[in-house]
Amino acid sequence: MYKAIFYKEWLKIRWALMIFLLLGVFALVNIFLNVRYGVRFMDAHDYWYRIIIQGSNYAASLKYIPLFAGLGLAIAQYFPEVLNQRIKLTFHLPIRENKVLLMQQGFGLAALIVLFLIYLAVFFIGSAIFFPSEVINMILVTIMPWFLGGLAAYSLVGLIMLEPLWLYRVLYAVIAYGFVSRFYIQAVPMAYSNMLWFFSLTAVLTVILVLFSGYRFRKGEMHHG
Amino acid sequence: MYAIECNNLTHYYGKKLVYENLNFKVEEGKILGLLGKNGAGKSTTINIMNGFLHPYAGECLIYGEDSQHLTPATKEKIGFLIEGHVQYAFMNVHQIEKFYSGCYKRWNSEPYWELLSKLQVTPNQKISRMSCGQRSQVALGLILAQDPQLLVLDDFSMGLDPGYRRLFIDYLREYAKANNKTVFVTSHIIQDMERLIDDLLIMDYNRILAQQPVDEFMTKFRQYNIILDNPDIPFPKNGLSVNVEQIRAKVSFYTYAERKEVEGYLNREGIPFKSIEEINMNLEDAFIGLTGKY
Amino acid sequence: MVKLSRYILVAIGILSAAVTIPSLYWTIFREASSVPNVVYSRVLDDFMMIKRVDGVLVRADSEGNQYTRDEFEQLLPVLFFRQRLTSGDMPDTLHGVYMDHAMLSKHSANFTIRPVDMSQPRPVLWPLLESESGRVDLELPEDFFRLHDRIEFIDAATNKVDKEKSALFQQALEEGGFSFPARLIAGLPTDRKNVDDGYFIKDNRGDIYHLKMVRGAPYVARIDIPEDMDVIHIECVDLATREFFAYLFTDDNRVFLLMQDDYRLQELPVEGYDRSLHRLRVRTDLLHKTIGVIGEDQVKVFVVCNDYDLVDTFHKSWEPPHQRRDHILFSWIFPFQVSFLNPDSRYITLDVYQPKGIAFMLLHIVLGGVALVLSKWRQLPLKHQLPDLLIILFTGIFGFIATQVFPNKFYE
Repeated sequence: MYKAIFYKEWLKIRWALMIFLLLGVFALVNIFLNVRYGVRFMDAHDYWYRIIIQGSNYAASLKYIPLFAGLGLAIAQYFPEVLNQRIKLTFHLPIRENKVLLMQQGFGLAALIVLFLIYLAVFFIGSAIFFPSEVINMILVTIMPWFLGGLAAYSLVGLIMLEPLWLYRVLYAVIAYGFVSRFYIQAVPMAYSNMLWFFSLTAVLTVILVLFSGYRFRKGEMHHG
Repeated sequence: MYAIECNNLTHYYGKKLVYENLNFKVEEGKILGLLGKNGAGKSTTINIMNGFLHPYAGECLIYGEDSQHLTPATKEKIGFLIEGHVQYAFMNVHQIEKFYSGCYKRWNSEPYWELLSKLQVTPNQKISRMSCGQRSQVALGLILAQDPQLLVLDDFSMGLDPGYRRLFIDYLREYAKANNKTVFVTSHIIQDMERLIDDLLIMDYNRILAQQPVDEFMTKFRQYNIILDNPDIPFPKNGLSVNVEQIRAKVSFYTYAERKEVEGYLNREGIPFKSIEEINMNLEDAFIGLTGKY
Repeated sequence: MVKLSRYILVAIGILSAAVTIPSLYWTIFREASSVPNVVYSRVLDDFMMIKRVDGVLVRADSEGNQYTRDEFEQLLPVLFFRQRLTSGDMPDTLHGVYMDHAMLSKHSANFTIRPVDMSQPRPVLWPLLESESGRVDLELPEDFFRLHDRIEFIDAATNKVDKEKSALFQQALEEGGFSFPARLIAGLPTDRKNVDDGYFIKDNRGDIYHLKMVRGAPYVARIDIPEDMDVIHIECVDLATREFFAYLFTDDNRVFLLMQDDYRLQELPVEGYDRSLHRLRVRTDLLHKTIGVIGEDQVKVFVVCNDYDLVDTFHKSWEPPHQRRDHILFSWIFPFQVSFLNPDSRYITLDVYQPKGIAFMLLHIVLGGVALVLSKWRQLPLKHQLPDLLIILFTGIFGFIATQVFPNKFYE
């Protein structure tokens, strides 16, 4: 049955995936065109100096793209389910409810990770042309929290959308904002290097959260007054 | 084992009671119709039966399983039509058949395509872009293709043309009887129910008004039109009648009692009357008679 | 699994609340704490200070006598030499030293280092400038070098290793006795300085090496460091007087100057200095050096003359932060505060501040009671609520909010 479920999820997210793939690749190409300009038409060592000593991040424009990708993908996946309470159809399928939710979530997350890996691959290939491994690593460590934040945002939007009561949706959104914004703190390059384990762990833990509002939906929280 | 068995079902919406101690059973192979006005508790019952609402008290068993914890094997046996023919409208008719066929082992797409052949839809037309009636045909076709043992159809007639409704009801009844399917339906359109159901369950606010086979109900529940001599004498509301509607001298008297009993009752109450006449009711008349006009 | 997901949500809620609410509290309630600026007067041969009291700048001596701005500055001619020369009331000599403007200017230097300066990401590559190009201005090189298990120069324009130059420097380091990998690199990677002194590098054995490029050739010198000394931070300076290269900080919180003559180590008096807590300020002028160790609740000042003999010391402490009203009120409301941004580091860290005492337990018990009443009103079974009550008992207002936002409504 997982093939059918993945098929359904694919139908929902394929356009969003395509859009964010294009958006991300476009942004990255733009970044490297700027890098190429910096290296060739400014003094290359001045450009390197800005990055290595003065902390300028050549990939800065990428910052919120993983976040929007996570949000967009979650909305693309869950909005059609939440509309008219269609999630009831999903829960009625001959499969355990928690299992089908995790399958859907897992598929979306896998799609998002693949998308991010594509971004990172383009980033890596482009950077390797112009910069040594230390600089690539430095920027990679700097941008990694943005991707982790995109994963966390994806999981939390699923939780928020499935919640049957509007009051709690708002409350969850407030807390989710407080939490996800920690992944995007304005700081010097490599500032997160000692905390990547923490943010990776918390991003991973968010995967199962959708089960909570799924449970509340199934118990009919909106019908309890 | 019953297909559906509800025991002492009680539910509150906040502090307001929806109903308490609802008990009913549906045998396999029977068709039960749940009738009631809006807000009487029909949706509550459907939600509880399908595991989308945890009741305040009591239980609902589907093939012996608690509806709050239905196993996948049992869910496979249930065909559920959601009120409003809700479906994955972002898919088109091909995609949705492909999706569901991957979910159900006994999937038989013939009846689905048969129903759809009557529709004027393009192959890539999304369900969201179909008319209400077209969507309902898709939803019904999917259930038939699933070949479930128990069909739960919540307001199946919504949005359908009268001709089509008639056609579907006849088809459904034949299909159900021929294959020993159990059907649990709700509908606003009472005439449709009359053609379809074996047993009825009529709900009103907080209580069950009638729970019996349709033919039994139709024989036993009667309407008498009484012309009064003196309209100013206050007419007794309770007692023998289930419901009374009075417009000046004309009284519509709804009761399970026989004519003689009614005459005797009126005499005992000291109500002089000019005439008493039994009226033939159809199910809709009876329903309104039982529940009142408002 | 659903219960687990709720607990994860509660944890996230507690974290979010523990970051935002205390932060809001400090924005509203934090009291300004003012640290006095302590200076040394060679006229009085005593300490003087400027302090902000109730928003007003107060200038006083160590006995508490207050002075006007002019009076104050007249007692500090070396510090305010420009003003004194302009006003024309500069003494000709002080303690036998001639007060020459050029000399006063040349010897005037300020150095400050805070905990945050020692806790921040370091550059991943370094530019090695040419020390003696013969030109007036310094120029940034066209390459950067990496130094881990070997030294390599990478050309910025081509992103390729300059094999010849790298081999040359590698050989120089190896012959100099350098043991790879490098553990610490310090220098001034800028062309906006007077002189380039290259870099000071700590090798794998803990020895310090001086690396420069002189007319294109590598210059490597080993600096004698006592066996028991572990240098953990080096802060280079660019002094007009060329007296020393850098400040050296050891593991046991001692501070040394790395003198330019023969790489001699000169220890500075910094008793009680803790590099993770205190700000160190060294004010240099023509006559002496004033070394300040400044903490949240104390100031220690040491004055040394140009031979580094200790001339005078000053110590003043006041109520520690946890005794201030804003901190006490905090301890009644919050059991802890979590922050990722820390004023003492440029890294993102998981910083947990815990107030002194357990005054907050009172609020915790009250909140636990409120939660109990709420759950009764919602007709929820008591034994399901016990884990929540425990959470509220330990995390107080944060746990209360989190357990209310993510309802504990489970059936069976």
